[in-house]
Formats: sequence, C-alpha cells, structure tokens
Amino acid sequence: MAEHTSQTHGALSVEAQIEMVKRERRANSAWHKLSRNKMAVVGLVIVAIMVFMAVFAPLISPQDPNYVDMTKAFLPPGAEGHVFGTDNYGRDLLSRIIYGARISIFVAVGGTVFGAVAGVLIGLVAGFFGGIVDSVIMRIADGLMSFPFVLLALILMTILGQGTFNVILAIGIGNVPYFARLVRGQVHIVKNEEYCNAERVLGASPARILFTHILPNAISPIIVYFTLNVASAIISEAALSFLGMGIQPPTASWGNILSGGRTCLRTSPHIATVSGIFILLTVLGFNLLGDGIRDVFDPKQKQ
Amino acid sequence: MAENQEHLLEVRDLKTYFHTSAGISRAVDGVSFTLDRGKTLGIVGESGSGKSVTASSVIRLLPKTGKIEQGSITFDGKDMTKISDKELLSIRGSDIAMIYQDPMTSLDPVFKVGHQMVELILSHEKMSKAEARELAIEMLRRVGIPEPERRMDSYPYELSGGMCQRVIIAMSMCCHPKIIIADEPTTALDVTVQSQVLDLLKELQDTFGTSILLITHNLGIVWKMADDVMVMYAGRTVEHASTEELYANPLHPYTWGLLDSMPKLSDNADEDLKTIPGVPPDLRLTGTCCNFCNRCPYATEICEREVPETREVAPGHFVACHLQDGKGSLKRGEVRR
Amino acid sequence: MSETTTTAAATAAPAETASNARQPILSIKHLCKDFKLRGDGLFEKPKVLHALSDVSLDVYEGETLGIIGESGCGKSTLGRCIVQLHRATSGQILYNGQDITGLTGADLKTMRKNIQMIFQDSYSSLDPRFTAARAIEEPLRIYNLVPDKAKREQIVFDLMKEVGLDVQHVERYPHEFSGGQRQRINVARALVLDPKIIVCDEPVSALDVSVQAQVLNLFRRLQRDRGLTYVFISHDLSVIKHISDRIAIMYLGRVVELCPAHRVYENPMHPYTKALLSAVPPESPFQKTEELKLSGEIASPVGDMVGCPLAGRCPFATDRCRTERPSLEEVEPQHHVACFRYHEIAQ
Repeated sequence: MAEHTSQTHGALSVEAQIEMVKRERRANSAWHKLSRNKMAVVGLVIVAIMVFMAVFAPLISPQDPNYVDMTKAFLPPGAEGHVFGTDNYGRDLLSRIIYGARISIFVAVGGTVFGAVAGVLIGLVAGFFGGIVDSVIMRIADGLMSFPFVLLALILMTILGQGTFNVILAIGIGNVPYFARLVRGQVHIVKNEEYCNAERVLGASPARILFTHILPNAISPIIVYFTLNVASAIISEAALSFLGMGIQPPTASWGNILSGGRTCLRTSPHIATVSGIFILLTVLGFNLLGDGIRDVFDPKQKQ
Repeated sequence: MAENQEHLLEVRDLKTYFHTSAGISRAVDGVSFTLDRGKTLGIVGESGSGKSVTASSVIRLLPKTGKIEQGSITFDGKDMTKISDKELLSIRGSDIAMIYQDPMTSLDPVFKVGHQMVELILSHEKMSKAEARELAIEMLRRVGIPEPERRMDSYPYELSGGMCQRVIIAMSMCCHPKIIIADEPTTALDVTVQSQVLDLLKELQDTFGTSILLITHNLGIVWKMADDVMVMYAGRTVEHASTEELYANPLHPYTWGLLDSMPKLSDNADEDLKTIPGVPPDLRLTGTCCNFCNRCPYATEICEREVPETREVAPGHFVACHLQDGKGSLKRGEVRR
Repeated sequence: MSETTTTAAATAAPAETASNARQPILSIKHLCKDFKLRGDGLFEKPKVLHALSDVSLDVYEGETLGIIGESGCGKSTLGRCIVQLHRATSGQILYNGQDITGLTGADLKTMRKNIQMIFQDSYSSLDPRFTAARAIEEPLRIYNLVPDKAKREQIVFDLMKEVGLDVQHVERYPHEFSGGQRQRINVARALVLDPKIIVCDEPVSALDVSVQAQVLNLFRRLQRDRGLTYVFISHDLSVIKHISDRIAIMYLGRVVELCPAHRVYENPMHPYTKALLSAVPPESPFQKTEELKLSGEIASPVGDMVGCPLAGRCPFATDRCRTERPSLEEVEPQHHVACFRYHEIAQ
C-alpha cells in the first residue's frame, strides 16, 4: 500500500510543486504586496524622509535651530540663504522644522507606543478572561472614550504638568482605550479558533495560548491601527503645542512653530504655511502607509 | 447550431483559466459535454477538479481573476460566451436556475423569504404582486414546506438548513427554468435531509421536464440522480458515459481509484480501503502530460510526455487515457510496471 | 510507506468477544451537558439546551467506538466533553477508573497527555503562523519533554514519515498544504505525546474521497502499530462502519442504539438507525433501496422533553412512546437499543 505522497513524474514532480510554492510565497509576501501598492510606496517614502530628517537632524540642519538673530527676523523664504526664511526671532525656519520633526515624530511615536503596549496588555486580559474583568475594563474604556481626545489630553496635561515626557504620557493614556478595545475584539475572534482549542487539548497553559497563538494572530490590525494612529498623534501633539500645553519653546516642534506663525499670519504667512505643510505631509504619509499595510493583511486581497 | 437543436446545453472545448500572481491556473482545461432536455448530467470530481468552475463558466459567474479563454457554451441556441450582460441577467434566474452548497448564504438574511421569492418572480415574469405571492406560496407547498403562508414571513435564519434548501429550490422553480445547475446541493445537509431534498429535485424534474446539471463529489448521489456522468480530474474530463455504463464498465484508472476508495456499507470492514496514492497536481503545472500520471499505477513513459485525447471507445463512452482502447488494452488491477 | 502487517492486529479484535471480561479504558457514566441560552425577551428566563442527556458508554483499549448522528445530536459535544473542552454538567468520565471531569491544573495537564483530539477542520485547527514542523513539536515544548533541539527535530521527522508526509515539507505553512496533508499534520501533532485515546471529531468529512480513504487507512495502520483507542465521530455511516468495532447511534443528545459495527448493517433495530441506513445514497445505479422515511425534522433540543426523542417523527410511535422514555437495554449480546417496539419493527 503506497500511502506516501512521493512523486517522480516530470512537471508534476515534488520539486516542481515546491518551486511553485516558493513562487507563491514570493508573490504573496508582505513586502512584495506593499511594493505593488503605489500609494503605500508614496506613504513609505514620505515617512522615510521625515524619519531620516528627525534622526540625522544635527547633520543636515544648516544652522542651530535656537540661534537668535533679531536683525534677520521675518525673512521670507529664500532670502539670505534661509530656504524657508526665518521666524520672529530670526531663527532659521528650515533648521527648526528639521529639529521639530525630531520632537514631533518622537512624541507621536512614543505616545502611540505607550498607548499600544498598555492597551494591548489590557485588551488581551479583557478579551481572554472575559466575564467581570472584561466588563469592568471595557466600561472604564468607554468612559475614557466619551471625552474628545484633545480635551482628555488637555486635562491630563493640566494634571501632569508640562514637559516633553508628559506630552507623550498624555497622548499615550488617551490612546489606551482605543487599543484595548481593538485588541479585545481581535482576541474574541482568535480565541474561538479551533487551533486554540487544539492547544488547550494539548495541555497548554492560558498564558502560553495567549502569547504564542492569540497575540501573534491578532497583531496585524494592531500594526495597521498603530501606523494610522501615529498620524493622529502628530496632530494631537501639534494641537497641544498650538494651545500652549504641549512642547514648550524654545524647543522646536511643528505644533509650536505653527502656533508662533499664527501671530504673524498676515505679515509672514510662510511660518505657519511651511510647518502646516510638514504636518500635513507626515500625517498623509502615515495614513497612506497604514492603508497599504491594511491591504497587505487583508486576506480577501490574496490574489 | 441548427443540427444540435436537441441538445439544451452544449459545451465544447471549454477552457477557463485563473490568472494569479504566481502563475496561470488551468482550472478547466478543455471540457466538452452536452445535456439534453429533461436529463441529468452528473459531474463528479474532487476539489480542484474544475467541476464547480465548469458550472460557473456556463452562467459566466466567475471571480475577477477567472477568464473563459476558449470554447463555446451553447444554451438553447445562444452562445453564452458571446451574449450581452443584460441578456445574461435575464437568462440567469429564469431559464437557468442555480442551487448552491450552502443554502444559508444563497438567501439574503435581511429580507423575508416571501419577499425574496416575490421579487425574483416579478423581475422575470409579468404578473401582479398578489399573483406572484400566490405562485410563491404554491411553490413552497410543492417543495413540501409545511404552512407555506406562514413561512413566507420567515427570515432565512429562522429556517433549518434543509428548509432553506427547499426554499431555494422553490425559488429556482418559480420561473420554470429549463435547466437547474446544482453545485453540491446537499453537501451541507444531514443524510436523511439530503435524501429528502434529492427526492424532491427528482420529482420536480419529472413534473416540469427540467434538465439538471449536478455537480457533486459523491458518487452515491450520482447513482441515485444522474442519467449520464462525467468524471473530472485536474481540469480535464477523464471519463464520460451513461451512469449504468460507468458503474458496470469503468475504464479510466482514476475512475477505478475513485470507485475503490469509497467505503461501502456492504464491504467487509476488516480490509483496508484501496486508495489513490499521492495528491492532485498543482493546476499551474498541468497541461504537459496526463494530469493523472503522477498517481497512476499504470502510467508509462508516454503518459509523462503527452496529454491524452478524449476518445469514444464505445458508443457514448468517452475515455481520456493513452493506454485504454476500451477493448481490454488496460485491465483493472493489472499493474504492468 | 509500505503497509506493515503486524501481529498487533489481535489487540484491535472485535470487542464483542472479549469486552465483558476487560476493563474499559474510558467509561462515560450518565453524562449530561446543558447549555444555557439567553431568553428571547429582555425579562424572559434563560432557556436550557440539553446537548447530552444521560449518555453512558464504555470504550475498551485498542478498539474504535464510532459515534454517529446528525447535526445537533450531541456527538461533537460528547467528544469535547471527553477531552475536557467542555465541562460536563453532571455525570462522570472515568479514564482507567479515575474520574477526569473535575480535574484542574497539573492533574488536568497530565491527563491530557493520554487523551488527544483531532478536529474536523484541518485548516483552522492549525495555527496559520506555525510551520508544519513547529506545529508538530509544539506539544513537546508545552511539556518541555525534549529540551534538545536536534532530538526534537528527529522526533518530528520520524512522525512526519510515519503519517506519510514528505519530510521536504517541514518548513511549509498550513495554507500551503492540501486538506489531506494538513490532516496528517494534525494526526502527527496528536501522536507526539503518545496518547492512549484519540477522539476524532469528523476527521475525514472535509476531505475528498480518495484522500479520505488514505487518511482512514492511516488511522487503521496507526491503531495496529500503536494499539491506539479511537472515539471516532462522524455523520457518514459508511465511514463509521468501515473504521469502527462498535457503533453508538445518537439522536437528540441520547444514545438510541449501540452495537458491533457489522450489526448496524445486518440488523438495525432502532427506527432511527433504519432511517439513517435507508437515506445513505445507493452503492450502484441499479440499487433500489426500500426506504423508511421519517416525517418532519429533528426536534429542538431546547427545553425539557417527555417520551422518546424520536416519537414525533417515528411512523411506529404509540402513546407510550410519547409519554415514557425508553432506556438503552441489551436486547441481544452486545446489542443495545432504546426502543419499546424494536421487536415488532424488526419484522
């Protein structure tokens, strides 16, 4: 009785089929799919440029962002070697934008990471154990979510006091309920999959099932939400700084550059415009990238 | 097509390919058959044999990546591959009815059963709403649904799987279709319900003279329902004959394997089942040899080189095998290697 | 892989001769499982669905007990109760004389090594992010049985060969296998811990005919080679009859007939068994089956019920059937039936 799946014939041989699987893997790999999505590539390029700017700020910035030269205040873009002009203290706007990228992206990513880590843990616990634990956690999350995000962040900033780290904390805490709810939903879906039952029958502990099976299989929407959320965190940071509760001058962030530009919008519109455009581009970049990643993970688009 | 007026459906050399990112998948690779009025043709095969894609090609209901590459599908004198989308829409549901495996997903969950039936009737027949409702109730009664008036106001989720499939059958019979394409119509149902549904289909066929194209993986259902049977493997027809002939005198090694691997109630259970070793080929690799050669115990060198032609070895009995001439050139169980 | 004709076949001998003397390896006693359903209205009381009502079965070492019934008859619930995926509402499940229904923690984990399960859906029962090799070695990691990586790999390779998988495929993911191959991975994973009992919940229903035959043969070979005990759940009478030594026929959460496998075909006694048999599609185009048809559909298992569960559909039902519940009784050696009128129907 030949039960074995071995084959030796021409085009239908095992080798040919293995080759086919390899081709399929390449075609369906996340990277390959993402690179076929033009808008996602645009998003990726924008994000890459911004991150590059932030990381290598000291190397590429033409001037110290805090160097004040009152004689050169309010120069328009292009004048005297200042590509984007200067602000009300005569500081080089390009340098401030480059250093601002550092702060803005750091705060946005940091806040989102904080929110994601805390939210994922809370969501996992709520989703996996269910019952009373789940109800209590979710009601608290509902309560937090009933505040508009910026209002919640403002309240937190008032309580925590000013400082870069506190901005991160405020944005992070504001994000926790959203991540928690997303993860809880995912856990509810995955934990009823048959392979989790199979794992229980094999004798695995709840913690093992949670971290080796449920979390890895629930991760794709979390990554998508994370990327999209960085975009909104950039806006949140800008909004907080704009309202004077975020990053404090003289440290440059896109939000406080925009805020500073507001006072002289009539006479020197370039300050608000340039910082606004950078915020817009970065938000757009993260959103396009997030949408692209979502398409990659969407099983319905497998072809 | 004047000379073939007696055939209700004639499919010739149909090729339907799927274009995937990792290559072209030859889902249906040269299939021909005819179906006469009032008759039942069973298409049998395993998953990936192309039996469902054949059926979907007939009504041109293919996913985006699928394309009919070649061949003609003549239904009632019209070439289905060439007619306009509008004409196609009017044929679907009225002249050709479809019954799918999962009855629950074939009905819209947000509308009442009666509403869906009335809508369907009104879209194909000229009659008033009240008349359509009467007809719908009458059809529900015919398919054996108790209290049809009350059932008209049920939502699909309130019905069991068997009841749902009856509703689908009632719906499909409303416009007196010439042909019913039933794709695994009873696979999702329990055995006792399955036999009820099959009996019902047969009874309706006798009353209305409808043809049935029955797609199934279950040979038992073919024995029960079909006049002719076509066995498919990896996108191609391997054997095509009348049901009795195929059972009494199967000629293709794959058909032998299929018949042998079914556990039977009357068997002696102490023996192991005879199986076909191996797995079906990847459909992106087929087309250069006999698709069955890697699993066939009789395969010789020619089987790996050439695609076998379908030959008529006896009147009405077609086989696609290099080694089989129908006169004993290949005998069941005699492995020559 | 060539089929080995082992002498161990004796252990799989039909249970009818020896089972009286043998101790059952698994003994299910008066098992009940209820599910609470939310009531229809806001203030309505929750309803109770009786998935299993007073099921008692013995399983002997080395045999296959087939369990058949239609959807909703409780056969899957029974399987899941045995492997402790569901907690029984009442009753006992004894493994080698030890009640396993109340076990928790380390005791439960130790017991689970002995009783494994294979699920119907070969795809969803494998983690899509685990390769074949990783899935098969997972149980070893859970129990930390073989800390050495190379040894683990060897065990995985041997098992893959044993279940008929190509060793070249170790690094493939579940979606890159066919249904039959995936089910072999599931079998290999269940075998790693060397269990005594495997509960098979419709393991071949989703497979194609030719592949189904391969997997059924695999099950039988493994039973011969390893002396395994199977509780084999299926809705397909031909499959059940082929693989089982004894068959339990279930209807609405109860066992209505229990007999040696061949008897189900030769001499079915319960009207429901007869109906099941006559509904099986014919074996040839020439076969005309005499049909025993049941009217209507399976009753709802929600709420309490009096009388025989089949009374509403059975053509032989009397007033007694509607008011009194027949118990499962041994009417011939090894042949149990729960029907008041089986002897009249037989003629």
